[in-house]
Amino acid sequence: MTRFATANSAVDMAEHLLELARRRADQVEVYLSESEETGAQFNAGKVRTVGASQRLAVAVRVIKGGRLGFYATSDLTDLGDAVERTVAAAAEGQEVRFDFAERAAGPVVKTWDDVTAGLGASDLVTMGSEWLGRVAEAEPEAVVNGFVQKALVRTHILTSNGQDAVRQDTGLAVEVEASRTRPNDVANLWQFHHGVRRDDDLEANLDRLCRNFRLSRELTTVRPGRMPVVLSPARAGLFLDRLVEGVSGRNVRAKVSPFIDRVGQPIVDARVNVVEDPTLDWEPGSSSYDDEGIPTARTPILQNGVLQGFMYDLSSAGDLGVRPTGHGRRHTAFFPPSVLSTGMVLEPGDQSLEELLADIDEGLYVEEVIGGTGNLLDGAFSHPVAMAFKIEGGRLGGRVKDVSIAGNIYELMRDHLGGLENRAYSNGAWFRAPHIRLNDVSVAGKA
Amino acid sequence: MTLSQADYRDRMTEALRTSRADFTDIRLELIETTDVRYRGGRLEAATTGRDCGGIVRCLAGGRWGTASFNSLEDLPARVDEAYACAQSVPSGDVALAPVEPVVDVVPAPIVRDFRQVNLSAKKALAKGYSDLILAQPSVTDARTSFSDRFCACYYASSEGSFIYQEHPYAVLGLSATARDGSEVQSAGDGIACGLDVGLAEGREDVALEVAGRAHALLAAPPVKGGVYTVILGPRMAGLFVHEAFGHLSESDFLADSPKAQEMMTLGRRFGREFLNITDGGAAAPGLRGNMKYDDEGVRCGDTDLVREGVLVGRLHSRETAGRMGERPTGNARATFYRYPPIVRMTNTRILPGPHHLEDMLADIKLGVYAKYSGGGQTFMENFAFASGGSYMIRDGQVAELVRDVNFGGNLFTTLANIDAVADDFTWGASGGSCGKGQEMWLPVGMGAPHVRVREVLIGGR
Repeated sequence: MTRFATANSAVDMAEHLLELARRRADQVEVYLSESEETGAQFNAGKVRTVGASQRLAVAVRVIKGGRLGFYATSDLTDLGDAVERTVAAAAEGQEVRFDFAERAAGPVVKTWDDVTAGLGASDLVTMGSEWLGRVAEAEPEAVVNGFVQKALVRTHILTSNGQDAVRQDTGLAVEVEASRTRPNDVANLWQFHHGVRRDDDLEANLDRLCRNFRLSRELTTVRPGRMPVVLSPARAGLFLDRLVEGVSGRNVRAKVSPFIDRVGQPIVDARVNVVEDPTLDWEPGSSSYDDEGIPTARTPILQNGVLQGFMYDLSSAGDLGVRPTGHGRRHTAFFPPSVLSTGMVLEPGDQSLEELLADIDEGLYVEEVIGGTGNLLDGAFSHPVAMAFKIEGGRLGGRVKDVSIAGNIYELMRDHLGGLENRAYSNGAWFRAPHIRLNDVSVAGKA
Repeated sequence: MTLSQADYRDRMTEALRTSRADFTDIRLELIETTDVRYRGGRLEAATTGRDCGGIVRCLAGGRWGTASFNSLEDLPARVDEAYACAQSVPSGDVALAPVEPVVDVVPAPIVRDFRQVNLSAKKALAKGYSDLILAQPSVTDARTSFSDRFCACYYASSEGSFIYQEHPYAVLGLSATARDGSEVQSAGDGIACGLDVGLAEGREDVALEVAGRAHALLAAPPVKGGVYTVILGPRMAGLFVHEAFGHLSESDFLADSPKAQEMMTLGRRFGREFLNITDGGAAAPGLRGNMKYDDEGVRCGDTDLVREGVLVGRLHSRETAGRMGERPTGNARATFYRYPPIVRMTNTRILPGPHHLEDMLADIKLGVYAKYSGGGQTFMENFAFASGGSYMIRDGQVAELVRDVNFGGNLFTTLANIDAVADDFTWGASGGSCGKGQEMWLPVGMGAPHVRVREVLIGGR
């Protein structure tokens, strides 16, 4: 199923690099990433640019005398030089207590879709016109921009310990950014969605964006104070961003995680279940192996609100004397692996969105916030809202501007969880979550 | 591969000659990086990299096609690919504003070159600060880094431009995390030193400041949410003008939207007569956003955006200038070769005003002095930014440190509520990095004096 023009030569190159480097070091890992992308960029509802991209980069790691060397390059004209530079980096590298991946088969995960792989530029233009057209129909006053991009990605991880892991993924990324400008009132809505193929979550997320435009036509206010707040599925990141930091093996090693020595203890409400699962078919972050060639697996994080465990890459696992969990991930070939989540799921609850809203006399529905991330470790957050709506008499009302939400997400999820929706949606990146109702959130604003 | 400037010029010119498009340009970048990181006194990474690639843009019948790539071997094939992409755009009306072709070689004005400092010395530098930070009270974690990136950039167009420019970037990053029981607080700072690596040496003052601030924040109460008169320190004011105002001056947001153009009509009053805002790629030596030419070969100048409180200008690429019938300003930039350039800021600043800081403080009964910046974001006319350390102002005096200070507001009301601009302008030493759309981490400069704003909403519990 090789579909890359350069694939055979790239495999040869990776193997050649491994051979060259193993003569100079105790252990070697070669990470090779190849991609072909085609994308259509839309401005004001019309395609203005079509672009193609071919990328090929390799990262070499060696362990020599207990020290790690890392070098990454997209200049593949001189492999001998690449090896020299990696070995030179090892002389100055950090001491490590791990070995590169050994031969092991990962779970079978579906991440390649033939239909997506076969899409041409004109297909992307057609799909983009349809999706952006839906937004323009929902809000005729809006200027709609965006892009649709198809990617074929091949990743090859080879180690001198026998691992030979290959991943082939398709990707379909869609961005829609639309704004309606009125005197001193700009409604700007944004949706990014990345999937293995065209999926239902994209449709659901676009429907929500269209709904938000309709709601935002009317402006209203809430009385500042404490009130119920419903977070849209995309804003579950307020919780999950912090949770990932807390369960990162790197933060355990640095002794800054708030969860050290708390495995088996309740962290949040017993209705909360979170699992890191990169083995699910057709999810954008799913894969059979992580970026260090370690087989992926389902890792429970919170079960009935109780902390189950942490996420480790090779480095943090080695230092802490535990087994790696397959969470060594790289942003690109040019970044060394670190602990990242690629498939976190906040399990759905048992109420519909209507039921979550039903008994709220006055509250706030938050779609989008702006600003920094607050204190990721201790759970504190404080954000002005970018797009939020009043909840009034159990229903969604007009747009509320110029208010901020603040609190500590762990306290809120522990003591004030109002409920979780009975369906979870992909945020189009790395997690899947339902609407979350929190009962007692501080909302500040001009009274 | 080792090619001379003449080799690159020949290859690019040859490839451009094969193009069937109305306009074609090629940008090639050769990027060398090193990155040294310590965490908790432990070396986390000492890495090096080399990234080479380029992008071809073809404009054919008003339609854009682009092709980006890593292999520099077959440029004519990449030109063909970009042209084929343009052909698959159904229709187009892009017309570039005219500029004179430029042939120039622009080496970076380097004082002390970070490429002459070896990995071992960079490690020693970062380790020294790490040890110092870790020795301070309450500090449980330190992150220090020295990251540099040298980009040699070639630009050539079918109109006859050929430009070689060097962009050296380097940042010393220092941060401290202090802990008291379950209370955790962090503080950080950075020093941009791309042109002079010497600026990263002997900065124990900065290391002690971040450690001291993280320690002090542990005992600092969270700010009480509400509406305050706020004095923005130069860093916060620089961040504010970048986030809240600068992004709305980027004409790609305006070019296709008559309503947005109406909102940003030149001549509209945005603030009082002492408010002046400019952007420019050559505003002062050594700034992060400096460039002689932008990424489509247009000379960078200073662009007045607000003059005496009135909107007078905006930032353009050749495309947006062509669409709006204005002149290009040299603001077409790309983070790297993977992307075609879009309209971005360079170095954005609020010019010094007539007021004195002491007078600005004097009549504030209860307010907030936002001294340290912690990042910001804009969402059209709404903006938000975080302070990495702020003080209450009580009865005209700077009083206790408070934490969790996050501001939000509406650009237009906030600019109108600026009622004093001090005479103490400074450029931010840390240098900023800006994200827009898919592209993150474009080096930009920001500067401002102290600025006082009435009725600022601060979030809080």
